[in-house]
Amino acid sequence: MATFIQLLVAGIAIGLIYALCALGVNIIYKSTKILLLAGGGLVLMPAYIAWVFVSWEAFPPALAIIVTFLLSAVLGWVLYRTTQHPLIGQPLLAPAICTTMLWFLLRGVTFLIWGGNPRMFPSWLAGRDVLHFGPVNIPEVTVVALVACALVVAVLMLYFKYSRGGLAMRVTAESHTIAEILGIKVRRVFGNAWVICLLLFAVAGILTGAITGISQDLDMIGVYGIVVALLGGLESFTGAIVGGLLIGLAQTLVGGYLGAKLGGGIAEVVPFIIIWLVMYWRPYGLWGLVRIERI
Amino acid sequence: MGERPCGVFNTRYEQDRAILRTRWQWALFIAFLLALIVLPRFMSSHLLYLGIQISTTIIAMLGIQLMMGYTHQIHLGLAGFVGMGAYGSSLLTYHLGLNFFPAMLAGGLLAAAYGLIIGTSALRVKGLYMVIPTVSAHFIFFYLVNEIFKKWTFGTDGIEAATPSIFGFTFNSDLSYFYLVAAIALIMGILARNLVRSKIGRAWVAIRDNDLGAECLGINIFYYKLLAFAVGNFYAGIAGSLWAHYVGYHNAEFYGIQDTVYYAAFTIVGGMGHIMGAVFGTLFWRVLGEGVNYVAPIVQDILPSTISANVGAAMGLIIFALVVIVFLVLEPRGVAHRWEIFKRSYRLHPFSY
Repeated sequence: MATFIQLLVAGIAIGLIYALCALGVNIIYKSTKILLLAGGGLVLMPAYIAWVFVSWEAFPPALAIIVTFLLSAVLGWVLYRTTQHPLIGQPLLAPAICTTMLWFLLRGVTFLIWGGNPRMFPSWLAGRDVLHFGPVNIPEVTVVALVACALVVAVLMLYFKYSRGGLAMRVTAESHTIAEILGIKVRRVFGNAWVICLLLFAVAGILTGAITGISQDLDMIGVYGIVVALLGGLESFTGAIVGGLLIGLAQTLVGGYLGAKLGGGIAEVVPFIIIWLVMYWRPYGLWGLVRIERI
Repeated sequence: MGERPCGVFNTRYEQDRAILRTRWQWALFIAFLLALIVLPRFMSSHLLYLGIQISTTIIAMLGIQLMMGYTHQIHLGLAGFVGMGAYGSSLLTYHLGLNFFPAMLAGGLLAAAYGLIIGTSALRVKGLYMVIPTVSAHFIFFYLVNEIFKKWTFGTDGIEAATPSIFGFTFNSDLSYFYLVAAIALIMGILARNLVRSKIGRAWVAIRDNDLGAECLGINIFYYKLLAFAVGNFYAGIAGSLWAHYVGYHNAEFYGIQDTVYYAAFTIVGGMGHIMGAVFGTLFWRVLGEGVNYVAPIVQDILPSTISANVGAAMGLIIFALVVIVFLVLEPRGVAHRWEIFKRSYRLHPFSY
């Protein structure tokens, strides 16, 4: 029972991190209609940037995190302006493939600068303590990740519900034409979407880095984020969160209980099997919009 | 399609159907064949290696061109299917001692069968949603090879692939293997070119342009989508089998996620919906790869020593990504589109616009 609860908590934590990535993919898809496949790189780059500032002794810790988010936001805007803005209006495949290339670009750049050795955050960010609840042992950092993810999701919801920027984004998601008529600068909304997306990926990258350490393998988080976004439905925030929890729990539980029988690789492959099977049942994801098409 | 050269008029149906219409085209084609036969004799072993690599890649790119370019079934897991074909044939030759040629066909059929299993989800999803079943296929392939069938595939240790031989002749030199691969690539290319202008190809194009419209015209979408998946992945399997038996040894690491993405990316760079697009894409890819191999040591000398150790692995990723992004931004329709424009303006020469 203790093992089960430990796996459950770990699964929820990793699931919420996937959900953050999926929300990033969702926001880009809803506003620009482009499937973001760059998740891997968008997790790696902010995580390494954070590592540079956080492990820099002379830098105040709180400022390090703020600077990381600022740089991530700038990165998001630059990536949008240089690679996606010129492709507006092209067939949707070209920008999607362009984003996979962004993944490779960021992966290459991080590997060039920081190499393949895994890095660790200093202990104030990646707490090494283990909390004991009777027989259940839960690493402190997992709890931090849980709380942080929940907070980010709450802030995002409030932003979309009450702020002007969020309102503009919801209108743009509904229809580009209507948004233009209402005087919303759609292209600026696209840029905002990329910035918000990068911030979400930065949170996901930093939290995963705190749990597992930072290495090139971190980019699988972004890939699972895409899987989760499609599992939940590309238009749905609920879907992203529920899908993230589903995939995270499935991964940790299957890896924990069946890993010995089916080989260690099962934990990596189980999200892909789940999404492939779900595609038969609900092709547009669990909460996705079923489009009615006419000729 | 496109315009015919000036002054060429079709008076018989055979002329209308021909791929090579004019004497010049025949002359160029024969010159190309002669060059293909004669030139390799004077090429260095590195150039032959490159030639074999390009020929096998062209086969796989033809496959993905049929799926992505002609049927609009986005395929982001091709390396998995290439690996499926390679494992199919190498397992048969290693464990059962089968001859290479039937084993190659079996490898292709295995990849096609895997494609059918994955492709059944194509009934319900379309367009960019196809990314996920195909990427899943890629990762499931890794799991199958490294964990489930470890007893036969030897997991990450890799498996030997026998050198092909037929009627006592062994293709053990680079030159003979190049002829074999080039001949197969040529046959597969002509096959693909003819396939896409047959009834099947027209059905595929109809599905690509508007699948609901195609269904209303009485085209069985599910059948033709699955057919595209089977044929395309058959091509991929043949390509994988040929490459594995040239190298003589392979494991699942040969078929990484990078290759998977490059197959799709260079199909777009080459140009979607053109058979020549597969050839252009492959040439672009492999020549760029050679360029990276040439540039990387130079960059390694320039950069400070703390990061120069990483250049080898990182340089390829960065240069490929940058070049493809720049290409997509500047010419999203690919090289083949430019080629068509060039041909048209050349043929209508004095009056081109």
